[in-house]
Amino acid sequence: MRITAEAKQRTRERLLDVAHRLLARRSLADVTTREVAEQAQLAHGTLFNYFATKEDLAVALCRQLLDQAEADHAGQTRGDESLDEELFAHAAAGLRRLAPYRTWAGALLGAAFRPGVAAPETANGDEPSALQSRHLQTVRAILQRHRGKDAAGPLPLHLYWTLWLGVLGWWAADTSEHQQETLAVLDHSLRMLVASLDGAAGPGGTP
Amino acid sequence: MNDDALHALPAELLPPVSAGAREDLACLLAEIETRALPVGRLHRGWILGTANARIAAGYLAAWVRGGFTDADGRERLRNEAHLLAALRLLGTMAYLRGAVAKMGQLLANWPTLAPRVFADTLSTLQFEAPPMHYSLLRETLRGELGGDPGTVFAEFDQRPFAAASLGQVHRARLKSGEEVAVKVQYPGIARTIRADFANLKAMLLPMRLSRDWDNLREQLDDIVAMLEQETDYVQEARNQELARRTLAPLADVVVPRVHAELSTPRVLVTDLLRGQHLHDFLAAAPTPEQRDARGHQLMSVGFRLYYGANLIYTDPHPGNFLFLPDGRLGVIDFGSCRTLSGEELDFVQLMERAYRNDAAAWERGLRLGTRLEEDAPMTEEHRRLITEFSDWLWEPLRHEGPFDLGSEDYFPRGVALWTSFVRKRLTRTMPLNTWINRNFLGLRALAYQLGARVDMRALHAAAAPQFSGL
Repeated sequence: MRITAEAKQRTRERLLDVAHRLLARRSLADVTTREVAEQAQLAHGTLFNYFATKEDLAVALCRQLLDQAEADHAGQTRGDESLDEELFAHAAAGLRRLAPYRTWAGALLGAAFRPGVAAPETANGDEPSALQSRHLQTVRAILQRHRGKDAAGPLPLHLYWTLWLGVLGWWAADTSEHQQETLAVLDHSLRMLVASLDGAAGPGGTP
Repeated sequence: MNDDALHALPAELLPPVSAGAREDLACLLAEIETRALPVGRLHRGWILGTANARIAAGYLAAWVRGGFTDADGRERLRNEAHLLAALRLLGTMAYLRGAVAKMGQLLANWPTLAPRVFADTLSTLQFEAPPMHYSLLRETLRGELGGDPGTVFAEFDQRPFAAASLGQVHRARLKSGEEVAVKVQYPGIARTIRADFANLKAMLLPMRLSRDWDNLREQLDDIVAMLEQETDYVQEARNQELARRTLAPLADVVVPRVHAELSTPRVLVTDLLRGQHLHDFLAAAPTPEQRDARGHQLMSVGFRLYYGANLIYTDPHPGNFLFLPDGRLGVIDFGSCRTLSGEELDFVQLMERAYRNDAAAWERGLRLGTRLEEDAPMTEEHRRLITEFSDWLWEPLRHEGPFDLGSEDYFPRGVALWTSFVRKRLTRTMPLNTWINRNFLGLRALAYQLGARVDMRALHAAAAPQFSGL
């Protein structure tokens, strides 16, 4: 029997829905692929036709959440934000969507992402790469809107990405109430980024 | 050599050090003073002007150095190295300007400034957090109150209308229709302050700053405790409710009500008061009677809190007082309040007796207030200065009828006396005195600016009936 692309997509989403539910309550180490497959009413081996490893499944789940965060951010932008505020709002929307999975998502993403930044259009198609690409496309658009084309070159994006990985690492281990320290770290990091951009080029991109 | 920062110090405060060491220190202080905070916007938002920060940094250095000027050369060099390291650390503190300023403010008190500048400076130096943009504020409130400002409140003004201790204040309207002030603390600042000061103390510890180190450490610990208290808005809400009850009998004074159901350790929601600050009040050319009335209210508040609630309002700067259009005085910030401990109450009682010319109480009070052992010697000069300063504090209370607190003969004299303490490094004191002096000097600075005549004797008697029989 041939499985249509549509049926494949439905099965994939079913697996992600189950992962969504199980991983919000428990750690990644605690949840097995067998359990996910069972709850999705699939044979254990079938799961691996969709996700090669449990980590791939988790990264796909993160991608789904971060896609939702992109929509959240687009919906809440007022248009009068400063550059650092808009970058903050974008990053915070992501952290908010990932918050129920914080115990494992920060560490997983920190490990899955490469430290370097490939140009968004050259992403190689795997999940972490696609995730990174999607995130940086928005960041690049924000940088361009506020500081012109030159401000969104490889160097600022690389600096941004480095800071973002640092924030994710901090967030994963943040024991402060409501992870308020992560908010402070994110705020400081982005202000530092903007200061370095403006120090190099001046507001508006003029040297 | 760039030693602008050292120019903020009176020359006699500078111990003789080698040119090289002095240059290092000068450069370092200049660096702290001019160093950009992590970003430009923080810098712009900081309430402290560079001049104030420079003076504060300078005095911090003087305070630390003051303790080891009698050490031999090698020890001085070692201490110099520790001091440089400590100052370097100060320069990296996340909220450095505020912390540097606070310490400078508390421990040094601007010896070279003119009284008018002193009064103004007292008004503007505060511990400040960086400003929050709305997106950060929204995330913070989501964590604290469980929802967006737009869903928790009927209306919420996205722009802050005031800076507050360690955060900022926004106007909002409750769903029940009341206008409120929402004070939100910068996230994570409490832990940062604790960590910064722990590091600073560890850095200063090996300096073994002469015989007064224990006392300096006691003062430093006290400052940290007060700063920590300032980060806890639940404690502030308690102070505010206590002040509200204590000041309730004063019909012309109002303390805003706390909305406890919307308040957390980092969010404080209170009724919103609308009125003028001191500067605007004075700009409208009030009559002498209006000035006197405002001075009377300010002094009543200070006396009532001190004697009626054992609460010292340690941060009486103009931003914390509102002159309402109906003639009432609003008191709006209770983050920096100190409740008197048992030993401190004993001290206050001794001083009340001393004020009434009880010589034995005065002697005991002197020992307790300067933390001197029974048999430890006290120099004549030290004794004379404390006597003169106490007499200065008590002068308006001993005066029959309205006392002119705006007189050029009164407030400047107090500043000059205070200056002498610091110049002569007679800074050994019970930590309580720092706060009492901040309260008394701060309130009298306001009355001086108002040019108010106030019957201090009558106010004191009315506020402290428990001491009337002494």
